[in-house]
Amino acid sequence: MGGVLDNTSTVCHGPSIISIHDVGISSCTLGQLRHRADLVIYWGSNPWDAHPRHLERYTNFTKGRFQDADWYGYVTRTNIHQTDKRLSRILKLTPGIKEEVLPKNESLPYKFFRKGRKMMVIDVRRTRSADMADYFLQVEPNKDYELIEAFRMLIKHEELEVNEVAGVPVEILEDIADALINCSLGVIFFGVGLTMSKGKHRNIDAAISLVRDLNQRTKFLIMPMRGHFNVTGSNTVSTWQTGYPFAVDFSQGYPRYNPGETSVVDILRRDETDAGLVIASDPVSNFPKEATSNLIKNPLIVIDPVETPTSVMADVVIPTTYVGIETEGTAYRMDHVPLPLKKVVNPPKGLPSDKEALEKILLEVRRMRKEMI
Amino acid sequence: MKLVLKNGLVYDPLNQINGEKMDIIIKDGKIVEKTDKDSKTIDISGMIVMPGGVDIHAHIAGSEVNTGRLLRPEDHFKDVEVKSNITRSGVGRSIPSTFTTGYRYTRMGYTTVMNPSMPPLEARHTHEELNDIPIIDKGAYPLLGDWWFVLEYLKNGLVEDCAFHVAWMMAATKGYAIKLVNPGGPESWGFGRNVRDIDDTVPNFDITPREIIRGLCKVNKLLNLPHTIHLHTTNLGVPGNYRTTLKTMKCVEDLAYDKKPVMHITHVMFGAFKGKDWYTMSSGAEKISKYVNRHRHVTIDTAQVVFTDTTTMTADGPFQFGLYRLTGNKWVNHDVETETTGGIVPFRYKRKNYVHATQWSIGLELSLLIKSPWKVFLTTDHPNAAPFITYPRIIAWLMSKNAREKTMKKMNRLAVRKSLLPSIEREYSFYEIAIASRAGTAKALGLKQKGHLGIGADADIAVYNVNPKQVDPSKEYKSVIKAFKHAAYTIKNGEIVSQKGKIVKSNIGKTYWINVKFKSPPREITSDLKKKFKDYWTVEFDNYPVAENYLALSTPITVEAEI
Amino acid sequence: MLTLTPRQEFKVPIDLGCLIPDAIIKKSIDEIRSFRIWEGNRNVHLETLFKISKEANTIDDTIHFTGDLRKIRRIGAKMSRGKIVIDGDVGSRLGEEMKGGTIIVNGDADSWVGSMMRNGIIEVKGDIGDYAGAAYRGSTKGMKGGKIIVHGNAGNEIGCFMRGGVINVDGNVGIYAGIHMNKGTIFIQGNSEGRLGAQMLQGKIVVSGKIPSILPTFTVDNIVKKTKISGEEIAGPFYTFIGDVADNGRGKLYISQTHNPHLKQYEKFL
Repeated sequence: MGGVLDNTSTVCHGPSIISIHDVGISSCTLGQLRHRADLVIYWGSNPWDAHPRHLERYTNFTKGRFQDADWYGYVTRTNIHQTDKRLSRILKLTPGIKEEVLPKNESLPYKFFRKGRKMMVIDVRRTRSADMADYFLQVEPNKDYELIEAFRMLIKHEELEVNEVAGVPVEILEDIADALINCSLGVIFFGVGLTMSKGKHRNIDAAISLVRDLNQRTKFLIMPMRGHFNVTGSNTVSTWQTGYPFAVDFSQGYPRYNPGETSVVDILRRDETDAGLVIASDPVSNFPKEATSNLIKNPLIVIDPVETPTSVMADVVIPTTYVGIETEGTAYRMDHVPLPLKKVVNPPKGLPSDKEALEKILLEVRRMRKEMI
Repeated sequence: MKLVLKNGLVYDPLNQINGEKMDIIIKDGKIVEKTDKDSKTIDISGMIVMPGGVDIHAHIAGSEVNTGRLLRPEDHFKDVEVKSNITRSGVGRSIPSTFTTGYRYTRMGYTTVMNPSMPPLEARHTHEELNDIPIIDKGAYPLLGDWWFVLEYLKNGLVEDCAFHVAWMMAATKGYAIKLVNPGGPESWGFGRNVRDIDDTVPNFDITPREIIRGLCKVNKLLNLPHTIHLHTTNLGVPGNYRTTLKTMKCVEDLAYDKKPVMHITHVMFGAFKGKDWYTMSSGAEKISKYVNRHRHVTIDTAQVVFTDTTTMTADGPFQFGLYRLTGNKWVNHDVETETTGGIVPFRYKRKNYVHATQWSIGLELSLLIKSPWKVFLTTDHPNAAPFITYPRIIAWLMSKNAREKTMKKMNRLAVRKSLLPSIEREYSFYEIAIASRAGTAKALGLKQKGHLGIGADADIAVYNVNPKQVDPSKEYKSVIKAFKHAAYTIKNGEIVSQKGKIVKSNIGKTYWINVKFKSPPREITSDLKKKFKDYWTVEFDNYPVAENYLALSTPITVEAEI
Repeated sequence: MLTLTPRQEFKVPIDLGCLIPDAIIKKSIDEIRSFRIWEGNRNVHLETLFKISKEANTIDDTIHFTGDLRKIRRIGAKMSRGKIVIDGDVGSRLGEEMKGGTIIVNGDADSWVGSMMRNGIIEVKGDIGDYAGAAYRGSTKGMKGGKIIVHGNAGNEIGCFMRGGVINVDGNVGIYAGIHMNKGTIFIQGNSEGRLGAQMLQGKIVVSGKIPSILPTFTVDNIVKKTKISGEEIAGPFYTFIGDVADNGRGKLYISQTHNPHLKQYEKFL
């Protein structure tokens, strides 16, 4: 057709991909971390709420070949946390006693200098995952880049000429840098908190560079915490068929790629489209208002098994079957491991799968254009 | 479809046909004896006919190749493949997109390509990509040299158990041959270390690379696999590593039988460095050639460097990290649980760089000093030493001393002075080229239907428009390059797919895989596997194997094991 | 001189990479009218989109655009000679991979002005978008020579992966000016939003206005009274910083002392 094909990474981990173009990435499959990781850092991500099975399956709360599970530490910490809460409630009720103000960022616990699994959360606010962690580092919003760059300095044993970075005193940063170097295998999981804060892909650029530099001293890996079901799969397929992971423009008869120019949000904002086809995603509730209104003012076709704000706005809706429930398929896990999806129930009669629906459309288009592939 | 190729000059080394004028008759995708009346006849007088090319080692699909594509938009954007009514669009250069890969191989007259590194856990991905590579036939080698089961069984001397598991893995991943990459190295890289010699111990496993190589070599024999073990040596890309390569070749000498090869060492150029460091680095090709000339148990491929911008990718994680430290280019690392690892670094081979120029020279020295082309095959380890689209230039260097000298004139002076090439007079004939690029590789792979034009063979044929009676390849190497760049006709499965560089038909290629039949009723191999599965991997046992319906055109080859 | 005016307001992007002074020289007006260009996914004749006129007896290699050109991309791509004058705003990738000649825009320009350019001059009277003088995605080969002059403001990441040449911005710039820069000069007369010269290896960035902070990976070097950019003297005083140390860089930042009193804390290291 000569259209533009984009997928949901354009609104979540697109920046991570753009930074991979510039610096590469040192990554792995999740099992590698289960067996080996002893320092797990969640940066701008909240696995306890967003990836609920992640901790118990792949990282701190699971037992691997070379590392033990850290359930015990977790239970202890939860107990302490509960006690703290109760105590502070009592303190509040007791007249005359002033609550002790804790320093915002405590120094690193001794655990980080011993063997065994450790978990650290770096975020702008105290999330549920931060409560689970052995250590929580609170940074000022939109200062992640400065912090990562400071770590890069410190692991090279360079001195910083400032007293604090992103609201964290340099002494604490030095301790953390030591912990980063002294682990046997460390990993940084980063979420949308890092990709979508100020600087976007350059934050990831710096984070990957930090991990790359750390590999001179120990083994370190980094992985985006991806969501959106099979978005990794659509990136993967797009890459092998066109060479580019998302935002692919076919208008001149071959794939072209330049996010900002060929990415769907930018195209919609400049109002350059005259029709839209949305498959199993929900731009209306995720895109900026301008882009959404330009999308729905043109003919819009939605292929989706569920009702979404987008399908409500559509001119044509083609309901399809659920992959993994009513149809077989393949999905790529966030670490690029492909998993087969099984069919468990029969779909309602006459309902096509996404693939069948698209193939029929394609056949019709080719018939109209008199092409033969 | 019925087709007759008339009056071509046929080079079919497996049937000892050297440039004879013959007719090739094709019917229903096979080569047959008798002409039917309604056959279409094509007159190809003055052109040469060879079996379709067989590439023994080219990274064309899989998670690591795809990450390479993702890593390098700048590699794609200036080399594009525009869509046509028959072909799909894509991008090119060192890591072309899948459709482009199929079309470009076809244009060069290649019809079978083996993908040499497939992490078993991500086999499904590799096969999905292979399905999207049109026209050519494919196969993939699963990486088994660092699989925990292999390490554990071999450590305990349980070769037969290991064989049962390897056979299970071949069927589960739809693999073709056993691939070992720096055995023990990727496992050590799990904690950021490496093995430096084949007698180093792999940390946490108490086994040496030598034991792994020998063990899997025995397994290969027990299972009767058509190809030998496919090995990427230890210490790759380190000056002085030619000793390790020789040691590796020697370590399976006693396992040879029937004068047949038992080991294929791949991209030997990267393992043939002499010297102590990069300043004193020189060619170790002479020593390796001497050894290969004297022994029958080993075949090699060269990985010929071409001076261009390319992308290096191997399952040898520590090696790629070393390369990153050397170049400072962007670096991808990808560890796969319990099995292997991988790395990618973009790289530019420069004429004026001493090391790169020496590497170029090593590749050609190996090809020219090893006397029998049945032992040394033409590859670039695509895309490690160069993209596969450079094969025609390499063929010219092999066939023409003039072409080599012309390149050497523009090369680093010191490298030329130290190189053996100026003293080598040998030039390949078309017959020898046919061996190094198709007959020999098909034989080494055990593909009985490929690499020859005898009765009953697959009708995969390349016709090149160069007349050996009029063109002297030594002097007119440019017309040789031109001919090999775009085959006059490429015939795949009995149908013309490409004509003078234009794809005229796009069909689906086969995917070969090995299905092992055991003599004894197979032991309950899965019990141990199932028991450990949950501990070792993060996927379920039922989700691990790739079902046969995942393959676009599944072609199992059944072999009978000795056990 | 060749003059082009759009026939209507465009909706889809138009790739005008083929219409450069190098291509029109010695071509008749009819030949130019039948140039094939891309309007979205349609391949059309130049004439269907533009009114084209040619003044006789003038120098052949000047192209003059008027009207609304915001949807038009890649004007002057790969040009090596002549002059392009644009009256109005222009779309992205202006002067991409330019090798010589001059482009003058009497209006604003979108992102990727002069990306990967090797030589020549681009002068924009209004504002520009992001990524001026940058490299293509994944490449480290940004602007290598030539000059980009912006009289208005510039967006983020100008001079990304720059390898030479000069970018001169009279107004303010966004964040990450000179990121991954490797040689070349950026002169910012207005303010910077910060993260100046992040991950730079070599090169020189001068800021005469304000900057919120300097990255922790830069070390203060000196205070100088003045500096020079392509022979022209710029009055200071300036703090000079060296970095980016995290990347073993030796790039230099010149930051105005008078406008940035909050950087006084660095003076104790001098």
